[in-house]
Amino acid sequence: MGDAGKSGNTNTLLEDLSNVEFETSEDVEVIDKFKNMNLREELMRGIFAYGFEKPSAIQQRAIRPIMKGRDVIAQAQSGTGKTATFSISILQSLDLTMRETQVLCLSPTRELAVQIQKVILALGDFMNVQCHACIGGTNLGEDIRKLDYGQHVVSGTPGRVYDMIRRRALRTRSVKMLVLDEADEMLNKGFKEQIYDVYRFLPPSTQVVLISATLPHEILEITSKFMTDPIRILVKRDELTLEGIKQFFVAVEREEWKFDTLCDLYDTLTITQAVIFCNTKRKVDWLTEKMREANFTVSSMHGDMPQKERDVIMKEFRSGQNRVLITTDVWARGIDVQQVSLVINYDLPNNRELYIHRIGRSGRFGRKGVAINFVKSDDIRILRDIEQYYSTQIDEMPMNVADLI
Amino acid sequence: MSTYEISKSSLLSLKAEVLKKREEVNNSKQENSIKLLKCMQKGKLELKKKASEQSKAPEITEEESNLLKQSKSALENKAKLYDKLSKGSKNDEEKEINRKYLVEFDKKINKGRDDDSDDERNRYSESEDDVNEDSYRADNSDDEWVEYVDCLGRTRTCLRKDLSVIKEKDKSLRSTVEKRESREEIRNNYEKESDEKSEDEDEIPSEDFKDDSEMLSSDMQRELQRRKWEKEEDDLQHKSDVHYQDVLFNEARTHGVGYYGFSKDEEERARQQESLNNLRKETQHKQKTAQEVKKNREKQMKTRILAATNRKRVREGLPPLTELEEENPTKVEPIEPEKPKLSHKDEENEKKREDKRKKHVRPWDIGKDGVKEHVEYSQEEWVDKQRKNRDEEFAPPSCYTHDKYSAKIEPKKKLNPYLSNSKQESRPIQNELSEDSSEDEDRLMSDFYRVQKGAAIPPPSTFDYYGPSSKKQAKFDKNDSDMEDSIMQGLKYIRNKVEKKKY
Repeated sequence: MGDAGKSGNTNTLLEDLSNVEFETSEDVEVIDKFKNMNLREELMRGIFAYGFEKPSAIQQRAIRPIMKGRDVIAQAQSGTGKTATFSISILQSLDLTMRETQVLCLSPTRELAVQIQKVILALGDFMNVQCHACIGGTNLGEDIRKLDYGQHVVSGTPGRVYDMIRRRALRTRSVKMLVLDEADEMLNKGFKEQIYDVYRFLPPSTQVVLISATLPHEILEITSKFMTDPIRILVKRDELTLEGIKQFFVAVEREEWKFDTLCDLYDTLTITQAVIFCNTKRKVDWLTEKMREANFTVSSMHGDMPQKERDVIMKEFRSGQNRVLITTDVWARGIDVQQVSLVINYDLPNNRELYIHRIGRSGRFGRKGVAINFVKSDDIRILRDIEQYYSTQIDEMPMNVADLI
Repeated sequence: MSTYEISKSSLLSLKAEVLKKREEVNNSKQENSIKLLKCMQKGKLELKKKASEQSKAPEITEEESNLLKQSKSALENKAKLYDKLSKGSKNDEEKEINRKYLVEFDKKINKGRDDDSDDERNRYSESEDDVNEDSYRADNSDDEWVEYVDCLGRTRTCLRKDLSVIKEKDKSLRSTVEKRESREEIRNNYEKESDEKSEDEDEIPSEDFKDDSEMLSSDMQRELQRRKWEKEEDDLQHKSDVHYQDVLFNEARTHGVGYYGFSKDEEERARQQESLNNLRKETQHKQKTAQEVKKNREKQMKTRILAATNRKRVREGLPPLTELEEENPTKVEPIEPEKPKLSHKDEENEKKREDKRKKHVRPWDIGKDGVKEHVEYSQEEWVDKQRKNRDEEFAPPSCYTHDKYSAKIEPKKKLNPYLSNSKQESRPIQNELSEDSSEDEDRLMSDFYRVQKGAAIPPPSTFDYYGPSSKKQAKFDKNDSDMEDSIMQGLKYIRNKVEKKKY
């Protein structure tokens, strides 16, 4: 422990990292072909079957160290294959002859946990891997039974996973890896305690992998509490926005005008699929109601809905039956629907990180995307701040916005 | 007047004649029916012939024949469906389908089945007879016929004496219609509040509707889709092995070319994987043999070229070559970009780091089974730790803690893993700024005072126990400029405070 950052009368078991600048580790190897990664043959087939041909930047860098068993902090732009990165590493490190939980993957929302389960099952299709989504809002007994069958990987939300551990339905003695997707959210105030609770049940020195598109400094600071000499793969914030996602704003004088603007844009929304973000659940309900009154077909989703309904709405949106989804930040992180090419911020997000995550719902894996921000005159300042912070460009919306989708 | 002699024989012969005739008639009747049949068959044949001739002449276009085929198949389907429906519905699902049609197949079935108790049939035949009779009679008296309007609003006529029976029938029909309507209403409501589902009440198997799915409204389609998913999910609950195809749920996702949609059935899936593997092995085998063939061919080519050049050389009077020379330089093997091997030193470093990693104890791991706190404490950390464990009774009296120089013991929360190192903690003076109390101000002053003295006067021997650690002192010495900054900020703070008090 270096004493450079030590302060006098505080007890410092931990280094003080507030002044340290975190950078990508020096010894990160780049492997630009899946072929050269030493993966199992079945896994390779799963990767190609899923549609990957060449590893993305993060996949080239992060898969190997995770496979080697090192603790890894990986950051990459939205929609560049982060989930697949850790999924591939997980699948490579599994012992399939043993039907016990070997990897625990935690994410902030139920939909995301289910999605990760799906990706792992897809990539491991030829391996016949068993992955269970352990999420709240579902039948407890069923959850217990599924875990009883034996699962190689459990992807879940912290609350339910902790519950299952305490009930001894989820045995942790064989767990060798903990993955925190959307790590910055998971280590934020709301979740940190729950993560700690789960962590306390894992064998000591379990491999930990943190993944997110945004990793603020204060999050990186606390990683030393549960990680050992991690390999960091980071992205500077001015490289965090994607070229493929064009960002625009529409200036409105009054809140009521947002609705009219949205109605005018409706035809554009339905070209492919679109997601509209509001800041509160109540506003989602209100806007949905109002759109339906005006005879527009929309669907909506937020955290206060029963899980069954959330499930159905997700399925309908994923199958392309619904084209427009009005939602809250429950949808902001990680959800991957290929056809979404337009994101509308009906309200500006509450922080800079959320902005990146929200607009990242479009432009998945190299596709084109458009983000449109509705701003009142006093919001413009916030937008300019975001623009500056990420060194990006947010122009006034052009007339031909439909051509960009 | 001549009278015939009626003899017994003539009578008998007459009778015989009658019988004969009767038999003839009967025979001819039967023959006729056979002939009729034959005729009909013939007629059909002729018709067919004619049709074929016609088709030769104007020739039915392909489109038309397709249409015919279509209509034929549609009719066949209809017939099948009808058969199926009229055969009877054993399970609830089929009953549900029946509700869709206005025909009461249930009743029909019952009728068909009740062969033993021919009551109904008899009654029907009776009534038929009646009708026949009545129709005869009705010609005479119009008032026997009555017009009535049934519950569906149709105007019908019937015989007066049947009216009571018909009324009853109408009543029962009305009741079923009402039932159906109410059911429809329920269903509509059900669709409206689609989230609260009672699955088993009316499940429509989607397969039966696949053919006419285009004709369904989008709402209906959605409803069917939802039910399908629900069914899939129900099936999932009882599966021990879940695979990608089980959780795909019609997702619109483009997969790679190598994607293979395995069956949801476990055995079928295994079979598919097996056959895929076999195919793969076969391909690999073929690739290998092809390569070998290629190699052989190359070898042969080489020897042939060698022979040719040797012949040439013999002609020129040169000694023959044993091997072709030119080949070698061209056949440079592609040098694999070998990884720069880790130098010995690097390897050693890596090993050291690995060891260090193994030794490292994460703060969040402390207290777990098998984890000892083998962290190396500095003096100050150790003291703090011991103080925390100390029984309160053995602590120095509280008046000591008010001492200016005494260290504040409040590190309990510092070990709490939930707490992050906030930025302010790095700068001791700033940190204290955040706590608003006059005491702190004193401390601040005292710090300032101490710093001024710097290392000039060594701290008392008990300083380690009651005062800030020597480490801090060392740190202050190290970066003076930092210290000055802090002092400046501290002074500024005090100034601000004083000014605030003034106002």
